[in-house]
Formats: sequence, C-alpha cells, structure tokens
Amino acid sequence: MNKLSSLNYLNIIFKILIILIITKGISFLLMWYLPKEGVNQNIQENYHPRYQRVKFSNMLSRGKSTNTTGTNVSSGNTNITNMVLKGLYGKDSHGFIIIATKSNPKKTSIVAIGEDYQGYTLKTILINSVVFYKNGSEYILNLEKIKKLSNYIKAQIQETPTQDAPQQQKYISRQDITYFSTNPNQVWKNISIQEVREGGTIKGFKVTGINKNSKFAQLGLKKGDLIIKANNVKLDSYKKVIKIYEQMNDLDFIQIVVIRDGERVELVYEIN
Amino acid sequence: MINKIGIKLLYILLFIFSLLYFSPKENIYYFAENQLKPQGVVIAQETVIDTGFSFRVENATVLYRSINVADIKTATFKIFLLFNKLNIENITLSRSAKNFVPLKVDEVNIKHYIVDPIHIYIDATGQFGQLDATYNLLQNSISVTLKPSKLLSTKYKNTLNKFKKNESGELIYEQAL
Repeated sequence: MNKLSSLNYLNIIFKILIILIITKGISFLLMWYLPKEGVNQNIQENYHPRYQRVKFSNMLSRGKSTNTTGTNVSSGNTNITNMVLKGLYGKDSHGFIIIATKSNPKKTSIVAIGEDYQGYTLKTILINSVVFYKNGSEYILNLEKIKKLSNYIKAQIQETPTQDAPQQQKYISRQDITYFSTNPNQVWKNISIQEVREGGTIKGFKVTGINKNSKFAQLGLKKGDLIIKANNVKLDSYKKVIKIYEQMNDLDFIQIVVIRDGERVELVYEIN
Repeated sequence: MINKIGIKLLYILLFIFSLLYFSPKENIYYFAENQLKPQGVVIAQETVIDTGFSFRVENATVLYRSINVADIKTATFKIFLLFNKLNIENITLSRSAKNFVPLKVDEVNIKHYIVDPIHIYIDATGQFGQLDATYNLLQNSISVTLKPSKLLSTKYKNTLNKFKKNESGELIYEQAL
C-alpha cells in the first residue's frame, strides 16, 4: 500500500513538473516571438527662441566708439540699472548686443564691442551677460529675463521679410487670445483648418473655411491660406503647434507665414 | 471519480496560474506598445517591472503624435482569472490642457470582468472630481457619469458644456465612438 501511495505522489509531482516545464516552454516561445524592446521616443524640450521684433532703423544711431574715433565718451544720463539687455551675439571681445532702456524698451540699439551706449563702453560679451566700462569701473548687465520662463534666452532678430513675403502687421488683444484658448469651440465655429501633407510629412495647415465676420478674418486670414510657419518655427508637426499654443501667454508678437495664391505672405500680430 | 476530477481541475488551475506567472509580461507590454504606435500613441521613458502575477510601469510619459499628453507615476496591470485590472496613479496632464481641465488626476482604475466580457469599467478621481464610465465593446460607445469638483464647476464651465444633468443632479455624457 505504502509503495502504491509513494508511486502516486511521485506521479503527481512528475505531472506538476511536466505542467511547469510546459508553461515555462510556452513563455519562452512567447518571449522569442514577442518584441524585446518597446517603442521609445526621445522627449526633447523644443528650444523656441523668443520672437522679437527689432527696429533696424535704430542701428543707424549707434554710440560713438572710443577706440576708433578718439572722441570723448558721451556722458549719458541713464544708469546701468535702467538698461535692458535684449540680446547678445558673439563672445568675449567679438560681437554686438541689442540693448534698450527700461523707459523705452521698444527703442533698441545695437552696440558692438568698444562702442558706447549711454556713456558706458561695451567691453566683453559673456554667456548671459555683458561687461560695460565707465570711469574706471566695470558693470555687469544680465540678459533680460523672459517672464514665466526659467532660463535666460537669447533674443532673436526677426527674419527680414523677403520680397515674396509681403508683411501685414495687425493688433490682437490678450483678452481675445485668452478667450479663444479657453473656448476652443468658438475657434472651430469661426475657422476650420486641415493639415496638408506632402510625402508623409506635414507641409502646413490649410484654412478650409472662415467666417467672414470673425476675428480670424479681421486678422487677415483667408480661405485657402496654407499656414507654414509661426514665429519662425516651421509647422511640420502637431507638437510644434502645441508648443506655440503653450507659449502663447508669453508672447508679445505672433508672426505667421502663409502661402496665399502661390505667394508667401507674412502676417504679424502685436499682442497688446 | 470525484477525486480524479478534482485533481484534474487542480492541474488545470496550476497550468493557468503558472502560465500567468511565467508569461513574459514585459514582452507582452512591448507588443501592446507596438500596436499603439500606428495610432500615434507612444509611451516613453518608462520602467517596466515584472512582479509575478502583475506588472508595473513607472514614470511613463504618454505622447500622442509626439505631443506630450500626460505623465504617469505608476501604472499596475493585474491579470487574474476572473478579472483584469489596470490601476494608474498620479497622472499629470499636459500643460496644453490647462485651459480645459485641472491637470492633476489622482487615480484611474480600468477593470474588465470575464463574466461581463462586453464592458470595460473605468473610475477616476482627481482635481476634476469623481468619474465613473462604462465602455461598451460591442456598441463601441461610452457612458460617463461625473461628479465635478468645485474647481471644475467654477473654473472650467466650458468643459462641462457637453455633459447633461440627470434627475439626480449628476452630469452624464454618452457618446458612440
């Protein structure tokens, strides 16, 4: 009897082992058949430089150079704390900067190394700041901090509109932007936009319909326009569109390039 | 006779449980990820941990057409004989949704019962309030019951436009997909 019982137990253990081997075998087969790696995508924070318009007419009224002209340093009344460094291009003793006063931040000037601005001589360009020199002392001026962004970013000079990109500048209120961003239904009631693909990639976004009495029509958009760029960013993915939408509250200007009747048209909106 | 049937039943159960235990869950997850890719959905930067009868995905970022949709702290898949459950905790929706919904979702549970194979049950809680939903696999339709939080009711009124109020004051959304 004991012998039989032991045989039974051995039989059960043997069957359990067989089951475990079979299931392990099946899992090995599955493992061999199924993919060994998942889908991954590198998430890169897009660097979208701040879109900023610079009046190039201001370049004509540069400060005087102490090195080249030998004339006296002009004694400006503006204190360095009242200056705003809008952009810098170059490093150490080469390059130029875009600067303005806090009282008139839109009136920018371009100052090269060795030139004067409001009585201060530009000495060195650093990564995020510049060094000015006046009366034997050095002054550091940091790059303008863009509100709501953690990093200092370099201002970007807007591309000069080409002959085939006629420019139209209009104004848009921040309230309108806030209203449409919180009421997307109102957007799609007034305008319909469809992606246009070419060879598998997005070429732009076509305005397929527009309410003639809507804000969008007032802003200069027309049915058939193919929107290809916004703030110098090529709109070839939804990601880029969303990125601009996310930054909307931080923008002072919106620039859109559309293809209209085969021609590039630049639409510029100042947000106020 | 009954003894023999009982033993065979135990063998079958052992087979199923050991298959569940030994199954290459990580590879099955990767397979599911590959199926989602053509739809534009990518789950990125995640860590997959096999815990025997379940498996866990940690610190995942969900992207749709390369757009960051949500960040998920933990998602646990539990596979049992009678029901399967996916529990997702600490979800932060993308900043681009901030004008439509509150961004923090505490927990989402997605359940599927073998005895009720045509329905998937979803419940969720977060800054938006409380939500119960049922997805009908046969009709491809969804029914959502929402108990909105004060935040959702006051700051995100436009989002609630698509919901209808029922007799008991709950917000209902029904849609064939």
